[in-house]
Amino acid sequence: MEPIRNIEEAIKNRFSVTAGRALQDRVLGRVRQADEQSRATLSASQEPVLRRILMRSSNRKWAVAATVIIAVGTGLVSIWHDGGSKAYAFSQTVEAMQGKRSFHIQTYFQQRRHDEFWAEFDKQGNLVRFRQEEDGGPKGPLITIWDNGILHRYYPAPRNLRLYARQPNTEHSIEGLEGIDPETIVQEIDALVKAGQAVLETDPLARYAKLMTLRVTHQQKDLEQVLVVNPITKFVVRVDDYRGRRKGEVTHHGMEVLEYNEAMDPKLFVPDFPQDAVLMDQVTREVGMAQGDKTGKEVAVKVVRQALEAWAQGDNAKAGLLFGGVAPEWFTKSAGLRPVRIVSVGEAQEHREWAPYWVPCQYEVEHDGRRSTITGDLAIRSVGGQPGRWYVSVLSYYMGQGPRRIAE
Amino acid sequence: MFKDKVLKWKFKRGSDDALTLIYEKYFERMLTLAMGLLNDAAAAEDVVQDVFVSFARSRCNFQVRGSLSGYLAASVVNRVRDHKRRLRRQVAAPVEAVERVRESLDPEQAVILSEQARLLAGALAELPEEQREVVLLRLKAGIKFRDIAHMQQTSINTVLSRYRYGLEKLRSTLDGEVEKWNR
Repeated sequence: MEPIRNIEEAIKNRFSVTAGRALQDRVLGRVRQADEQSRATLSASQEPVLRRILMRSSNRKWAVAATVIIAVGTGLVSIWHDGGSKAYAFSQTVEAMQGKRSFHIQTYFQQRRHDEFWAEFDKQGNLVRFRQEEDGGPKGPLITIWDNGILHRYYPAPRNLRLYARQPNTEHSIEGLEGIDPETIVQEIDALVKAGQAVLETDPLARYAKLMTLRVTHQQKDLEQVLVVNPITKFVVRVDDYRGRRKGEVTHHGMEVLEYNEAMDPKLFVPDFPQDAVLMDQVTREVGMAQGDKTGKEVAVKVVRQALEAWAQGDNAKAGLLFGGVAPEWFTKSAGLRPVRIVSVGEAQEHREWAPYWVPCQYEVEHDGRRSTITGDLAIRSVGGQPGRWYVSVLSYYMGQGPRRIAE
Repeated sequence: MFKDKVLKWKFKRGSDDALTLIYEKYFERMLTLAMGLLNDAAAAEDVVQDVFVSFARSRCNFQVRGSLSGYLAASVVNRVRDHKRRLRRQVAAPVEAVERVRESLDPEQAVILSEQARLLAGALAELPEEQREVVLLRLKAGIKFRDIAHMQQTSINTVLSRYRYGLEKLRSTLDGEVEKWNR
């Protein structure tokens, strides 16, 4: 046997495991079964949806584009503009989009404005910072600012909380942003078209239009996408997704690029949240509970129990740490929810929305000498930038499945 | 072969094919990683099955910021850590349990290692846990050192040292093994 001289090469190339066909099939069968069960319990409202659309223009331009969209017919993948003197291929757009440095995007749902994003990238295309404003209810938008690994998020009333946390961006894309990144969108469409899973057509009159319109029909999904491309820059400036046309129940998601590669106002990335918002500080101190030798489910249950016990004992400093670094004033403001007796803390549940674990609990509160019962689920999340630590989110109290007083 | 970005996109939007393609692309890679971390074929199989079952269930909430391979590798590492925690707590757990390689009469049902891979698995098993993780995450999952540092809650310099010491120890162990083998 030859001596193994290059250890790195040996581990990389010669240390590999082969799974027997039956083993592979058996595990795949279980994976598919889990997938089917998961789908069966997924309500229609939770179905993942596309949030796409682009355009770089005013509403007026959008209206013009919309008119063009209606007029879309069938055509060739390669289209002509500038009087037909120069061929356009979708690959030009894929290439052009790689030169992005910043964008300002408005998303739409059912033709109504939804979220607004501002994002800046470095020369390698890595995300440097972004701001997102999304519908936060009648008291104003939910604002997220991420700048080089630090996250500031403002939750408007009734929550009135501001989160200050670390959120490393290991692969230079942030949750939620990938789905509306025009560069990603065109790459995905390009791959699907090349794989024969989508057909790309264009308006035969596109050569005469100021903006080119492309239509993507997906073969395996009830989905049509309409893209608007600037023929000069080759940038995609708008994408509209229409899902469910074959069934006659159309859902629309759209995205419009309002600015592309424009200098951004630095103030956009400075958190200017209301001063009376209660701070959840996960940056300047260690918060939550260390997982240690416990499994995820075990630590979830333990952190809930300890957080409720600390709150019940009036130790708001300790409770604040276990509730994710929330300032003690939150407990003062939420006095009506303070436990006086913990009735039960159930088993942690996995694979639900928003948090890795949810722990059902029931406890008693006292108000004007009368006791009542609070029941519901508390969300357990990992502390950003503090690996292995978990906390109970006070935001659970504002969610549908969160703890509520039982009607007497 | 589809790029991971497209696979993630398709998976999130309900494609059965994407789930199968992801599984076919990564099952053996993750099995190798788990095997290297545990040196126990049965446990590695369980861990990787758990990872993919959990992955399939996550479809409705699926949000992966980084690479798919990095995400799956991190899931394997976390499950392996959970598995080891459970083992540590089992008072009567025999030491051999973490060292055995399951043999099966039916190769179709088995995790199969070449002689060389078996030798490497044995050498890896002798490394301290942190060094083994760094070496395998770097070389088998292609994860960047700074991301490994994040996973191990330590500095990048510590991770680089663990990597260097790990390779040195592997080299000395394997030299001895190869000498024995050649004798």
